[in-house]
Amino acid sequence: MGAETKSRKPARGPMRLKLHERRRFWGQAGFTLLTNANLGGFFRGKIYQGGLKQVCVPGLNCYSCPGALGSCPLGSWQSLVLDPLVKIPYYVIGFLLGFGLIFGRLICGRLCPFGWFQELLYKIPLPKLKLSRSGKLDRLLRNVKFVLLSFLVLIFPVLAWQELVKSPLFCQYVCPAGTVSGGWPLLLAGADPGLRLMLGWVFSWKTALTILIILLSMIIFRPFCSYVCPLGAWYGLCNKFSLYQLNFTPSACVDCGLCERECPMDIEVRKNLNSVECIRCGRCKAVCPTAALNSNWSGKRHENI
Amino acid sequence: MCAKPKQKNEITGGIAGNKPLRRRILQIGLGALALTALVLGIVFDQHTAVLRKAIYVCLECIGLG
Repeated sequence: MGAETKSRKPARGPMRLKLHERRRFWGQAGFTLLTNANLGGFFRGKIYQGGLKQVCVPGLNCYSCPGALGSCPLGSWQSLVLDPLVKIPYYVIGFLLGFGLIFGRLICGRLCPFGWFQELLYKIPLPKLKLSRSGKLDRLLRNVKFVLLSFLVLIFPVLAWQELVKSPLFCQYVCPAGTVSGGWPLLLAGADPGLRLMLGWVFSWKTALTILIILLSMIIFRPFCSYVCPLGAWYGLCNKFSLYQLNFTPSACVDCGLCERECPMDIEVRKNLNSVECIRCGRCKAVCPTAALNSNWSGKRHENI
Repeated sequence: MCAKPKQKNEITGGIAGNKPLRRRILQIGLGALALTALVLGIVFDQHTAVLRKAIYVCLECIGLG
């Protein structure tokens, strides 16, 4: 009871939200720089080949990016599954399960470089579109990432279809992070003239898809994360049981609705806490004037009625 | 003696029973699984396999394959 009274602070949500968003921005920027610190690679057109590449980074960060110090877990998973010498990529399973278990989609909201890239694009002052208001279409599109996770990442490569599937399908045909941070910089640097000779319909398709996602990111909040990203889909599934949990104390709620208004993923925060769609950006928590929404790292969920 | 009906949580729509315990067991189980997988991966030298894949420009990854 005492703690509850203590948590009732005067309404200063918007100010706290501004501070929170600034901190989140610099956190995302710092992590992007940290995992892509081989800046000279962009000018030389060469990728980093040191030992750090043995380690998977938690976000979507193409290992063909000239700046990347670590490896993309999704790319590593697909490459190792298709490798006849490996078959069961325990190492990547351990990473994905571990990160998912501890953070859930906190990685999407606070660390992922490609998520940050989309957020930067969303800051461009253009009229914004919220697809979820149209209902059915949004619900349908949100399932696409689970379909991609199931088929392109799990079922096709894992089952005995290795004769048919010889390349990482998601990376090859879908992933715009690879095009933005790998394909384009390497081609622009022009260090390897052989790369230009290999341009074909796959590259044209991926460039078109990437441009579409870039344009959509200017008017829709993180469209790739909401509808396409299989890594986000995996972490989203982990939201339900991760150690980081959002909590809601209804007795402290003044029903101002600020949390739901501020949610960029358009989630009914109070009804669907720790939703698979929640990227855990923490805006709802920061804007809450009474701290009815809070979080903990113990993996316990408090849903007091 | 009939059992006390389980209360439905108004917020989550779930049954308020021993859900926290089940979640904790799941967390411990998955944590152990993650650690085991990671250790197995290192024992089987899969970290160097990741490196092997990642030190060359993955042409497929950038749409050139």
